[in-house]
Amino acid sequence: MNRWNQTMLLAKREFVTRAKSKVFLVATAVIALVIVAIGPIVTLFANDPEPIRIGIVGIEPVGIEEGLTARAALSEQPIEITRYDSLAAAEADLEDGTVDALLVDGTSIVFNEEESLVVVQVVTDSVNSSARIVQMEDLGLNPEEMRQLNEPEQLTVRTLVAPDPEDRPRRVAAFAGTLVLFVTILTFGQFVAMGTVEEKQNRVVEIVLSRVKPSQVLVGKVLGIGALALVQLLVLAAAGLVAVNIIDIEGVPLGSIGAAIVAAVVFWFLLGYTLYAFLYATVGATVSRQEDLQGVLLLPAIFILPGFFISQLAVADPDLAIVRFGSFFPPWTPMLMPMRTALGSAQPWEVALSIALVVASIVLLIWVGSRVYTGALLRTGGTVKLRDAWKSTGA
Amino acid sequence: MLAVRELHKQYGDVVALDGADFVVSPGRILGFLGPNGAGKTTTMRVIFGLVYADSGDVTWAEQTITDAVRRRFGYMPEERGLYPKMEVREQVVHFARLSGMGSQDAVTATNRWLALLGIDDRAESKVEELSHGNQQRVQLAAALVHDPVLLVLDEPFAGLDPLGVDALSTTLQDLANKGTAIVFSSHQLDLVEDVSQDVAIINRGRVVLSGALDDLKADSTTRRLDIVVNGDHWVPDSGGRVVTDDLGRRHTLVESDAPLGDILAAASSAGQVDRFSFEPPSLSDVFREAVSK
Repeated sequence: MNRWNQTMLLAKREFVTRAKSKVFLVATAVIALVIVAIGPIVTLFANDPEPIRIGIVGIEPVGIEEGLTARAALSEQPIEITRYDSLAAAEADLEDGTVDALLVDGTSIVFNEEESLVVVQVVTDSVNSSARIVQMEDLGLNPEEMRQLNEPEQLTVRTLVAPDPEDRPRRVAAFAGTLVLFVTILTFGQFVAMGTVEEKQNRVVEIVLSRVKPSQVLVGKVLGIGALALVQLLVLAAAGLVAVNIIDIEGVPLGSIGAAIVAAVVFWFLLGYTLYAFLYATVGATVSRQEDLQGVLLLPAIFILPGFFISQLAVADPDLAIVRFGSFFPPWTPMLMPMRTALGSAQPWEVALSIALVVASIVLLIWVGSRVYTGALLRTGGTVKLRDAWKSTGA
Repeated sequence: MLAVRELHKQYGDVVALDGADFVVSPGRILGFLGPNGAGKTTTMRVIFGLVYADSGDVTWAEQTITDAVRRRFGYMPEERGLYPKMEVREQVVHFARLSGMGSQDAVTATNRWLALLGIDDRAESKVEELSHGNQQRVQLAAALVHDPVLLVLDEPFAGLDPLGVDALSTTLQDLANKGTAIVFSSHQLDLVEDVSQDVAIINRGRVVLSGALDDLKADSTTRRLDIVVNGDHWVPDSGGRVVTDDLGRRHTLVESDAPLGDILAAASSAGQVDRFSFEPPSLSDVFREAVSK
């Protein structure tokens, strides 16, 4: 039995006891189902644009219904028209959102709270068109002439740069991927800290340490819980891939975007989790009871939270200076670099450098962490100062 | 043979060990005695490499203890602890495997020990569902499962009922008969006297007395004088230390060269002598003498 076999035994115990927990299994299954459900829901909304719902009260301009329908069709939106006998009834429906806007006496448009420029334009055009119909009738034009004159002129629209239909899905996927990374690192990092405190609190650590080295306990815990996190991540990733394959948006290869994001998330999870897990284990070892854990969990949170918030800025603009520089700061790299990569803002050398920095940080943290862990693990009662734990492992 | 040599350990200004020194031989049971805070637990932790001594060393068979050697030791710490959510068998097997046993051997040994300790019917229960006494048995199983050559038990009798004490004593005796070297600490001196052949007494981090129990008693210059006159404990004028034992009985400790004739004469003139005994000291007498120096 060499040290590595012992460490794997410790890792296996961490994995098995947690994987058997009903809470863990149920939570994983529920999250996976929710993710799969996103597929049909998105498809429903993506292929079925919201109709414009207009209420008409009082004097109704001639031919307003045909006018509204024709103009709404230009923006590829269906229109729903409701007629009201009284302004009070119409306003009541407007307030509870049954209609989006009211056309009152053919002279004013009423919104509940926020006005919509699209609606204003569609309704105004339609009212003006109705007014023209009345004038044309007065002029004695025949229906064919009136139709030709009143047909809206459709302008062609183009952009200098061809729009990338993949841009939006890619941003959404990058956002979702970073969120999953952040939540998984945080959750399983805390598992590591809690597991460490548990062993201290129920004193089993002394029996364990009479057989193995503290550094083996540390590595075994990080490996075992990491394997569990990876399994959960892969289950959720599979659910995510099922979801994106259900979604059908024309001309966008969601499946391949999804696969690329999953690969990036798994890769960066391995680095990010390892980095944070050793930090969590180290701070976890300094307290003796679960009640004291919250206080020391602040330290890893201080590192990881800004990284996550900056990654949200990066969704809008991955070229921001803080995003660029932040992606080389190892605690933030696991969230910022995959975001930059997904949005095409990172050069290969930048990715390579950031990976090297994270790996170097992990090595440093394992060294510092094992020493603090060793010094703090058998000290019970209160919270051990990091410095004292470091010093007490001199020999 | 385990040899603990001149261990010194200081935590800041607090001296934990100041010359801890004793040996434990295969096939013998050593009772490790001392007041609270004397350094018993620290010494045991040094044996298992859980605490590094500032100086001194611990050897097994005259060799420095390596990880491989240490895996053949068994330890039951004073702070009892197990994984509360793990099943009993699973847990003992885990510790057996950590001690280097193959998976099949670990299961076989676990089943054997669970049966010997009378908890085989709880093998599938989670540890947290067990009574205190049964948890202690699981703890013992974890310390014994890999057939250790050296067994170190910190206060193993604490919290056991008389039946549990008898069972544990028998188990330890059986192990010693098979050649295991055993150290256990205890506060219950009469228990130590019954179970162990050797003792080491530690006080303020220093082992003040160690050796075979019989030799220590015989070598002691103290004698136990038990005189009852007219139904009451009687103390000679020539002095001595009056001791009240756990059962409330009193006796007097005197030097071995005390003038017995004069004392008996004095007792006789004081009244009817119901009892007059002059014996080697008990372990508790030896202990008191050692830690009061």
